[in-house]
Amino acid sequence: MLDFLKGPVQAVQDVFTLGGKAIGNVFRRPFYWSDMFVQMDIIGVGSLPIVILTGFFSGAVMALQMSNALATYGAKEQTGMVVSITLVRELGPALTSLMVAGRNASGMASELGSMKVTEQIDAMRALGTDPIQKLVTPRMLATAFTLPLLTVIADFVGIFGGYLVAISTLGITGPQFWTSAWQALDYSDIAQGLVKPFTFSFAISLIGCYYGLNTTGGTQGVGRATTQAVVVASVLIFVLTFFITKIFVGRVY
Amino acid sequence: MAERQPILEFENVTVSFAGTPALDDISFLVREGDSRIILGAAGSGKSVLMKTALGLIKPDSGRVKVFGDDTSNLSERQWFAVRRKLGVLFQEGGLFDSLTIEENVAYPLENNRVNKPSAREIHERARKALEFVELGGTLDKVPSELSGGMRRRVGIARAMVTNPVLTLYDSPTAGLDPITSYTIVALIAKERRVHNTTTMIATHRYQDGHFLANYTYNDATGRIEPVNRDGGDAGTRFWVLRSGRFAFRGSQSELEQTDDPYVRNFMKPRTDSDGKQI
Repeated sequence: MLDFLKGPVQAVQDVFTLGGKAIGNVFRRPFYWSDMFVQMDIIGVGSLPIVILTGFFSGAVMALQMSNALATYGAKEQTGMVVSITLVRELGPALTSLMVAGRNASGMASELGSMKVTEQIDAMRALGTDPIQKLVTPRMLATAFTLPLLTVIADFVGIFGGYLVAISTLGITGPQFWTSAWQALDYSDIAQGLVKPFTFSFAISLIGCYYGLNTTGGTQGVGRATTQAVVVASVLIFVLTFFITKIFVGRVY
Repeated sequence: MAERQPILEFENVTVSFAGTPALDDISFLVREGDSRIILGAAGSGKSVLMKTALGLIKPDSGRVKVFGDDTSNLSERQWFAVRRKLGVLFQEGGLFDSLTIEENVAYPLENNRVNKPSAREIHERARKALEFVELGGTLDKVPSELSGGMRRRVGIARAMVTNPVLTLYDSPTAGLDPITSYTIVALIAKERRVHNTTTMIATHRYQDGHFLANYTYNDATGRIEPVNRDGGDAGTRFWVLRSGRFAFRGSQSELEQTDDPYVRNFMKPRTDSDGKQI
C-alpha cells in the first residue's frame, strides 16, 4: 500500500519543488525576458480564438438554458444576471483554463519532453544554463499573466453571447439584459473570477513543465507525458475550483 | 618531467538507477593531455560515466574531482563555473532544434555570465569553430536541415568553441556510416592536437579508438598522419566497461592481447556484404 502511494506523493513533492525553484528564479539573474514574451504570445495571443469561441457559445447556451427555467418563475428578464454570475464566477475561469490546459500544458510537455529525450536539456545544463530558469520560469510567468486576461475576455464575450441570444430569441431588451448582468456582479465575484485563473495558471504551467522535464522513453514517452499533463492539469483545475469556490462562498455567506 | 595536472578523477564512484548500479565503484585519474577511449556495449555505463563527470548525474557514493577539486558539495550554479572548462558532444548531438547553427555554436559563449565576449567576438568565434569542422556555410541553417553527420560536427564545434581543457565525446560515431564516422574521428584527432585538449571518448566502435591511438593531425601539413610510435601516443589508453565496472584498462597492445571474450568482442573485424573489413 505504501509503495503504491510512494509514486504519487513523490510526484506532488517534485511539482512543488519545481514550483519553488521556478518562483525563486524570478528574483535571480539572468531573467529571460524574450523567452517570457514569446510564451506570452504563444499562450495569450495564440489561445485567443479558441477562448473567444468557447466563451461566446457558453454564454449563449447559458442564456438559452436559463431563460426557460427563469420563465417558469416569471423572471425571464433576470437572464443577464444568471449569465454574468455563472460566467464570471465559474464558467469563464474554468472553461478558459481547460482550453489553455489542453493547448498549452500539452504544448509545454511535448516541447520540453522532446528536448529531454534528445538530450537538449542535458546540453543546456552542460553549457551553463539552468533549464528551470530558462524554460520553466518564463512559461510559468507568461501563463500567470495571460490566463486572467484571457478569462476577462472570455467573460465579456460570453456575456455578449448571452446578450445576443436574449435580444434575438428571448424578447429581452438590451438595457434589461445589461442592467441585470451588471447589477448582479459584486467585487467578490470579480476577485473570485481572477483568483481562479491565476491559481490555475500555476497548475497548468508547472504540470506541463514537470511532465515534460521528466519524460523518459523516446517519442512514445513524449506522447505519454503530453497526455498525462493534460489529464492531470484538467482534473486539478476542477479540484482547485471547488476549493477556491468553497473559500469564497464561505466568506460571503 | 613535471607531473601533469590532474583533470578528472573518480574515487569509488557508484551511480544506481532504481537499485541497479550503472557505475559500480569506479576509480580513475585522467591527467592533462591524456586520451581515453571508453569501449562498452549499450547499457554498460559509458554515457552515465560522461554525465557523472559533467555533474549532470550525482553519484550515490564516491567522489568526482574536476581539476583536482572535489565536486561533491557543489550546487548546480557552482557546477556552471566548472562546466565552462569542459566541452561535451552528446550522443545525438544535443543541438537546440529551435536555434540556428550559429546560435547553437554561440550558445556557450552567449551564456557565459562571468566574462561574456562581445557580440562581434561571439560571431567570429562561432564562425571559426564551424570552419574548423568544415561547416562554414551553414550558419543560418537549423539543425533539421543538416544530415546526422553534419549535426554531429556542429556538436563538435559547439563543444570546442570555448577552448575547453577536457572534451567528452559520448558515442560520436553512433549510427553513422563508416565514411562519416571517419570524418568525425579525424575531427576529434584534429581538435585534440590543435587545442591540446584532454579527450575522453565513449564509443562501441574499436575502429574509433584504433584511429585515435595511431593517428594524429599534423598542423604543418594539415593532414592526418600516423603517430610516431616512439612515444607519440603514450597518453592514449583504452578502457572497457561491462555492467558499470572496468573489464579492461590498458594500452592498445595490451588490449589486443587480452583473453577476455567480452573485451575481444569489440575487436572482431566487421565485414560488409562483400567480405571487406569495415
